[in-house]
Amino acid sequence: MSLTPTFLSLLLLFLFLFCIFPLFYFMTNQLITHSLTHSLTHSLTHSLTHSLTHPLTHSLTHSTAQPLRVITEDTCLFHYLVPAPMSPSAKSMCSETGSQDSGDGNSRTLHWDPDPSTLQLHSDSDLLGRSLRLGMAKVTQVDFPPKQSVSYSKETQTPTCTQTHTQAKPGSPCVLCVTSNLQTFKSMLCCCEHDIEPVCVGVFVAEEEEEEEMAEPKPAEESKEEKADQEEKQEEVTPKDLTEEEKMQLLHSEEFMAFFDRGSRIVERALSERVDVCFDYSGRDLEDKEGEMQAGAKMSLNRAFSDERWSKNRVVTCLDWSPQYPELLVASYNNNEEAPHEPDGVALVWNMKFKKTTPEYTFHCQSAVMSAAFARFHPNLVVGGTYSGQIVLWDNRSNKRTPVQRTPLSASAHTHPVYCVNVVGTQNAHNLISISTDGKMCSWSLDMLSQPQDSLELVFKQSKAVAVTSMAFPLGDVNNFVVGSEDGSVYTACRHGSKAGISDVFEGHHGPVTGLSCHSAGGPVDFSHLFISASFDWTVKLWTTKSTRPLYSFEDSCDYVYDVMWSPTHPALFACVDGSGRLDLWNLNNDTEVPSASVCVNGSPALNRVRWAHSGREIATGDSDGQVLVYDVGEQICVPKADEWTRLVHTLVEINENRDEGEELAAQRLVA
Amino acid sequence: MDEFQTGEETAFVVDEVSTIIKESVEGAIGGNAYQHSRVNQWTTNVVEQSLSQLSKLGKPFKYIVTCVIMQKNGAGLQTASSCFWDNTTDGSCTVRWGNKSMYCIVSVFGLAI
Repeated sequence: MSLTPTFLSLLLLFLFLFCIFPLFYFMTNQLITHSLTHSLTHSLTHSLTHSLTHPLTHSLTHSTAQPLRVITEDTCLFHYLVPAPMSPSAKSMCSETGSQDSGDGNSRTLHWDPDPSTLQLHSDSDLLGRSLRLGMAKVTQVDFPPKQSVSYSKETQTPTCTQTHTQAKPGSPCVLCVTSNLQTFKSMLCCCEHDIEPVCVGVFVAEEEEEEEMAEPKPAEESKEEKADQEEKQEEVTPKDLTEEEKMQLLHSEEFMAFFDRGSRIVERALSERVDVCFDYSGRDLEDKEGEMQAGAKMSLNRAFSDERWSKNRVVTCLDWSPQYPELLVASYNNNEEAPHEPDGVALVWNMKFKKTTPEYTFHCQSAVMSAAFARFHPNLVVGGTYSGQIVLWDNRSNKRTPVQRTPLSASAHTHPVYCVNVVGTQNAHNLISISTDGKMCSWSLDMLSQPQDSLELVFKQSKAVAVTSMAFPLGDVNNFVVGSEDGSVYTACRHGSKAGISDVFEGHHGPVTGLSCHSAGGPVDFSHLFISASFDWTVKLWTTKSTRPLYSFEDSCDYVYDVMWSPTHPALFACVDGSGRLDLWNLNNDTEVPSASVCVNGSPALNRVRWAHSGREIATGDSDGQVLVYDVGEQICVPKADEWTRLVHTLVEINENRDEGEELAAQRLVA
Repeated sequence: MDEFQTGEETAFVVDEVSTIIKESVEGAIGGNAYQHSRVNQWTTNVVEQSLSQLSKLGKPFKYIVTCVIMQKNGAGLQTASSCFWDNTTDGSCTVRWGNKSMYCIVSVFGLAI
């Protein structure tokens, strides 16, 4: 065998490799990776060491000048070594080297030019060998939704629209925003951009001074019905953007809260007014308004006060009209079973003068308020007696809704629910009197509620404590008073003196006494010995302090009578309310058998309280649904005529006679 | 020796590409607010940086990189794209990045050679 040709070929191989290999290395030292060299050498040594003849004979059988077929894994790198034209025709270019194995689809073939100076690497793409399998890819989407900013625009003060914003498309909504300058609490509107640059346009809502930094006012053609948006716009001349914390701080600061409270109250009143500016005093329009004629009406509903949040699901426990401001009415409420997290006791001050439907003041406390009253000589204070026995004091000068003063929960004060609170006395010498259901009566000074000035146990005959549910002081009397109790009896009592405590008992009711009222209409004749009481036994009884037996019993009702009150102006008139939703007005001079006027409340809720206004023209009632209804009483009923007092005297004489007759008859029957 | 390698090294690896893009975007416009004067420069930077990083991967791919920077002004935006290619080897990746004042959307399409 001739070794020379093989030896020569082997030499040639060695030369090629060991010359070209360092060339490669120096030329592209970055891109030749370790693996490439490794594989090259590996394959070469492999081929060399294993069988010297095998690759050579294999290649030799093809042709004489045979391109070396080096198959490596890193063929792709060679792309970046020499950017060679990658066209299929490259193969034909290499025909000088005689490629013949390009048909092999699974391997890549490197064709090396014999000239080492220009290394051109050509490779075949996989895909060219195979058929192209193309398909649709999934759709890639990018979506940014637009910002939904609500904004509010007011008509500008200068109505002429300007022509400068011509690049805006007609009909494109303009986002207006309201910025509120918290330092000065003014509002200004500024318009934002039509193009990228925000153009600030000032529209004045406040009547005062100009803000000259703005450009021309917004054209009126843009939409006007957008709501307010409280954001600060980034623009060249605005005040600096406030951070969220700063905003929160400002919003909760004292100043702002006080301003907001006052401001919102005023705005609410203004918004609720429904003044009829078209009223015609000549009476031409009145034919349509027959229903509103008050001339014939006895009692008509004037206002209904209720509040979604504070009075719903609560029972009105007490009502009182303010002595200083005849339009103010305080109503106290007990707890709301549906809302256990809300405060148990609520007292709302309602305003009759303005049409707004929200309370003037909202007060609350932790225990259900059973009785409430305006402090007579302190126009700012509202006193409440609670279920826990505490007496709480609210002040409308403070911005707090919680009581500013409270009595202690101790044995020296009350430990039972306080159903009666009253301020008695004169401007200089007055006390707050409170009585709880365990018979304890305390008198307090409004300046110092930490300790009662005086306390008294109301016991009857040294043993039986009186469970007081209602209390009344006769007109002008600060010492003697009457109390009604749960056992159905009415007692008279004294505060001071040797006979301090219960004096007399008036028995007659068959059920707990719910309401007491002493005659308070002053006039030519003094009727202050008269008082009336209402009870669960469906009756209202008329008493005089001079006799322990009732003078008269009004038995028109078919349900528990919850409250009764004499009119403060008419001597013979009183009102009572019962559990079937009826409000009755009785006029003793007219008829003692049936009420002179009666109205039934819509929905027939149980009416818990009734209170005449100090003018005697209006009656407020509170019901079990938390509503306070104010009725106007017709003039012919509530305004007393001059002879009412004398007529009442006659009436009382008649009543007395009837009573005596009745008693005689009863006694006769017993005897017989 | 060759077969299993073609799957890994010559496929479009979405995660890898997405990481590269995110880095490029962060680097180019990271903590800035939208400024119209500089946006031009930013988009160019993003595209160039992404492309150089992608080419450094050394894969047999053709890359197409697009970059959109949109100011956050309350406007809405909707785009959609689809491709007709070889689903086994080719791939695309869209990266959405945003800060308080702008959005940046970068799409990379890689087509295997």
